[in-house]
Amino acid sequence: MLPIDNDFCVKRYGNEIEDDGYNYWRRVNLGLVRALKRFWLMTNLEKYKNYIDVASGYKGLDRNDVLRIVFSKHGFIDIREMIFEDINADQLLQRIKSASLVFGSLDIRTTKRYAISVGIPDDWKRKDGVLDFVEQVFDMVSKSTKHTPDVVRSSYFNKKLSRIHVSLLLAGLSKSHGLEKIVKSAVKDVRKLRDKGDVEKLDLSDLIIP
Amino acid sequence: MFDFIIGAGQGGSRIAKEFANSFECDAAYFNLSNVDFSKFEAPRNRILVLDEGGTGRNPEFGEGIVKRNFIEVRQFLVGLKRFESAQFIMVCVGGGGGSGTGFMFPLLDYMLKRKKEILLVYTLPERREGIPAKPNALMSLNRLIESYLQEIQIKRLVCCRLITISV
Repeated sequence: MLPIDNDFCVKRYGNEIEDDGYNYWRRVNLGLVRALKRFWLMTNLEKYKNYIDVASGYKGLDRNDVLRIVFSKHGFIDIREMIFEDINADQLLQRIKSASLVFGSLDIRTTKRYAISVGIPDDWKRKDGVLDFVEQVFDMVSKSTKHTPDVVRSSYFNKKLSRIHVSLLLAGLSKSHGLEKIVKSAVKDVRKLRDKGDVEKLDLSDLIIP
Repeated sequence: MFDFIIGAGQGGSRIAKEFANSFECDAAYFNLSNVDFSKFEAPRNRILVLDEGGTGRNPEFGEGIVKRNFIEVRQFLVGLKRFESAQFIMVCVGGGGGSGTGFMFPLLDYMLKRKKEILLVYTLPERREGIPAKPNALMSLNRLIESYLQEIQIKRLVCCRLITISV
């Protein structure tokens, strides 16, 4: 199950200046579609072999890797992406918590299986430390997930990238601070409604004719 | 990635349509009110509306309509060849209303009985939406968790008990 937090997605993909409600929500919906589709595209990299080099990387994602995670039967699914301007993963542990593309705050430590893909600009192939960086990212994400053992790791070089893209597809997530917040907010709404009270009995004492 | 996509309710159907376009996948759309589909462009034979004037954002009311008319829902699905042969199905539902969630449980039960693999895309309403959207979405989410997402915990408990007995 892929839970979508509309509040989060509206902030991420919506645009207040949009001309009408239809286009406004369409933009939000397209944001969701693109978030999931990028994993599907990663399983079809052979179509883009003119500018993508999987062989030089870690491994390619295949269709069944993605299907196994997307159709995982238990817990929630989340899609996350982090972009790095250079070969420095210092901020990864902080950023990974808020890198979701669809839901603000599912707890990554509870994930049971995940796929990770690191896309690197093709002209960075010969840069010092690129492969160490990829290993470092894999290690740090593993640490964030409390070393859950069911993992698919992949990487590739892409001529069209100018920065490093780290994409994560997480499954089996069980906890969320965001959901707790929504529950609290709903409880508050119900209480507020209840506190509005009932129609009061009219005071007609002055109307009594002696 | 998906063999078939299902959209239920107004919000769920619009999300499903974007997924169907982007993944070039066949889809079907369900609703309980014609007015919600007034500007919805999809082939007529891919749309099923059980129009009883909407649900007034009441999921139980919506589910009641769907259950009473489930023969029609089933016939509609069975008539879609691509649904019949599909293994991996995405179902999109907006959690705040009554139509999407009204269709959701009967559809999920039917498809799970038929051994389909399902990815449910379930949206939670914006904070500002208030009542009844938020309580609707949370109550249906709880039911989803209880009904479909907790199997692994139950299995583990069973395993633990078995181990204890054998020791």
